[in-house]
This record gives sequence, structure tokens and C-alpha cells, in this order.
Amino acid sequence: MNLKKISVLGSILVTGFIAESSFACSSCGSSATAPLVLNPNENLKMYLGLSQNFGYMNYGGYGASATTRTANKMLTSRKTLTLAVGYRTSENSFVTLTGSVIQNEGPADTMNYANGTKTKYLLGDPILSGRYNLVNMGMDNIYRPQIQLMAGYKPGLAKNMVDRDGGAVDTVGNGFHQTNGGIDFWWGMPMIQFGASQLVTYSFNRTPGNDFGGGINQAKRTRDLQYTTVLTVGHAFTDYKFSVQAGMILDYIGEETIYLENSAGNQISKTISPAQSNSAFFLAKFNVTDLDTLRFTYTIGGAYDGNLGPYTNSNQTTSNSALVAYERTFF
Amino acid sequence: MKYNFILKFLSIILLLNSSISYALCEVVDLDDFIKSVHGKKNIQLIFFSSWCSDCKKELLKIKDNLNENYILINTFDSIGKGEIALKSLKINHKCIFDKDRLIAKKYNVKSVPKKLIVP
Repeated sequence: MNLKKISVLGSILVTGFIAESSFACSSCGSSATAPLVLNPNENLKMYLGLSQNFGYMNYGGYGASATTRTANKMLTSRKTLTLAVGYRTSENSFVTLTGSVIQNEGPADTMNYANGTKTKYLLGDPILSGRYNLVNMGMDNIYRPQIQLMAGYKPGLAKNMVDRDGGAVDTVGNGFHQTNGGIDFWWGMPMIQFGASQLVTYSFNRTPGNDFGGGINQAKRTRDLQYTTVLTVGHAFTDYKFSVQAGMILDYIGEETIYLENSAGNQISKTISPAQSNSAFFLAKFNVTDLDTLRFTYTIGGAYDGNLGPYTNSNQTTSNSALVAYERTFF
Repeated sequence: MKYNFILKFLSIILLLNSSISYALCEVVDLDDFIKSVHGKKNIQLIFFSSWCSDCKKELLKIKDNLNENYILINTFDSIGKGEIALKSLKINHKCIFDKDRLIAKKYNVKSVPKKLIVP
């Protein structure tokens, strides 16, 4: 019997197996914000998520203080279908590409909310991101965290307000081409898991050169750095192939400056104050099979309302969201 | 006198520790591996990774029953990590490092821990 036949027979003769899933969770330190992360045993993985945002609130709306919360009537609901694909590029690194289709719902006439509602379908900004495992967890020391370096790029391609593509229902992106980098820590081996990640986002300056209204040209738009902190605690019920996590996302968005120019060539600038947005999230993951995972996430936007010093929610639109996602590992 | 005794005691402990050799996860060619398994009865392949918490549980469960029918396969991992993991669990047993994940591919192993019985 030649070697090929032996190996085929060997495969056929494999009779039993214990199908237990690993809970490496690479990396759950920021899984509340990243749609797709790859475990070390995964080379190609797909993510399909459906989410609904609702309960839109404004902090610092027109005539209100920066931290006062009022209902946002410009957008009532947003449904997002997210598709992401992750590919392992080396033993310690992988890249993901994320795209989304969005359905916005809001008033047809923002001057008169009684005039019915309108629905708009939009494409979200694509996101290309990558991660590199600097340190791996290990059973020799369960308190050594997995440490990942993160980087990403998001072109501002979606309809947005910087490009004056319309109101809240007609737009979805923030209008900036952005790149980010950060670090993610995940202690996934102890009974109580813990994660912490910090991301810094840089927004490239925009020169829209469009009409800002009243014949004024929007010459340039800049945004300062954005800092996103994610803190997570979790527990894996390995016997049930089930894990739960909860945590918070603290998001600080730097000051935005709009440079305007009138027909006489005079320049003025307007600033939009820095914003803070805090969310609380609850996540449940169920490993249906070795290769299939179901994920449910509920996020409360504008969480920890009240005076939290520099972390007080301000100058932001927040919303709650419910997400169901399916992940499939191909190999 | 007292210090001499402590030094001697520590030396003995060191010697004892160094005499315990832990499994070196050997890198073998896939064909050689298949040949080594072929013809043997009830061989149990235990696939594990150093980063996997469930693997630790599984290895500790079988630790006292390990015999010549068990082969530990360190997969989805970097070379050397399997040995560190086994040493931390005080497991001294035959271990294969699955270079390029070829053995996992061969036996269609997609996640760890996984136990396969080859009759």
C-alpha cells in the first residue's frame, strides 16, 4: 500500500472526536467595537451582522448646553447590514475588510414632523483593518494577556454632512478619511476575563469646496484626534459553548473646525466643540459548531448619564442598538 | 554551617529539577507522522494549543492516563510554545509540533482541544 493510500485510509479511519470549541477570543478586548476578529486557529472567516439603532438622543442640541440630553427627531431608526471578511496573513497577523448597507428612517420634512416619514438606503464607509499579535496568552501563565497592535483605514466614501449630501436621514458617514492605531489587551484565560483597548483615530483634513449656504464656500474642514477606550469583563461557560461579556466604550472626539470663505474672499472659521460619548454593552456568544458562532449585542448609548467630569456625555448624538450576528470560519 | 546545609538542600532541589525532562514537541514530516501512526491500534491524537484555556482543562483531565497510545499534537501555535505549556502542567509525554498546521489539515481539525481516535 503506498503512502497516499495509507494517508487516505488514515483520514477515513478517524472515528471519534470531542468537539469542544476554544475560547481564545482574539481579541475580545475590543470585540464590542470590532465586527470581526480571528482566533489563532482561524485563517478565513466571515461575519454577517444585522443591527438596529433606535432611541436617538442629542447632547448639546440647538439652544441646549453641551451636556443636556434632548430627543433627536431628525433620525428615528437605522438598520445596518454588515458584512466583514477576515484573512490570516501570518501566524500572528490578520486583516479584515468590512462593508455595510444602511437603511435610515426619519421625518420626510424636518420643518414639519407631521408630514410623514422617509426611508433611505445608503452604503456605509468601508473599513480595512489589521491586527498583529505581539504577545499571546499561554497556559503557563494565565495572567499574561494577549497583546495585539491594531491599525485601520476608513475612506470617507459614504454620503455625509461634510459633503453636504443631505440631512440626517440622507447621510451616514462622518465625511472624513480616517486612519487609526491602537493596542488591545485581553486576559482570556482566567475565570473572569478582562479586556482593555485604546484606539486613536486621526482624521485627514478635508477640502470640500462646496456651498455651505448663503453663497459661503466651505473651504476646509479639520477634526482633531479621536480617542476610544473599551473596557470589557467576561466569562466563558465552556461546557455550554457560551460566553458573555459586558463593558463600556468611552469615545472622545476632538474639536472640529470649519473654514468658510465668502464671495469677497474673507475667511472665517467655526468650531464644533469636542464631544464625549459613553456606551455600555452586553454581548453573548454561542458557538453553534466549531465553525459557526452566533453573537448578540445590546448597546446602551449615552450611558452613565450625569456629571462624570471630563467623561460626561456631550455634543454628541447617541443611540441604543441591538445586534445579531453570524460568524463562519471557512478554514 | 546552617548556610551550608541550605546551599546543599537547594543544590539537591536544582539537581532533581534538572533531571526531570519535559517533552520536546518534535517537528516531523507529515508523511513520517502518518507512517508512525499507521498500523498501531487505538492511537489517540490530542490536538492542543498553548493559548487555549480549554486545552489546559483537557490536558489536565488526561494527564494521569497518558500512555503510549496518546500522542499530543501542538497545533495553531508557534514553535516552542507547546513545550512551555506542557512543562507548566508537568506533563512529560510524546509531543509533535504541527508545523504549518499540516497534521490539523490532514485530520480536518478546525479548533482545539480536539481528540481523535485512530483505530
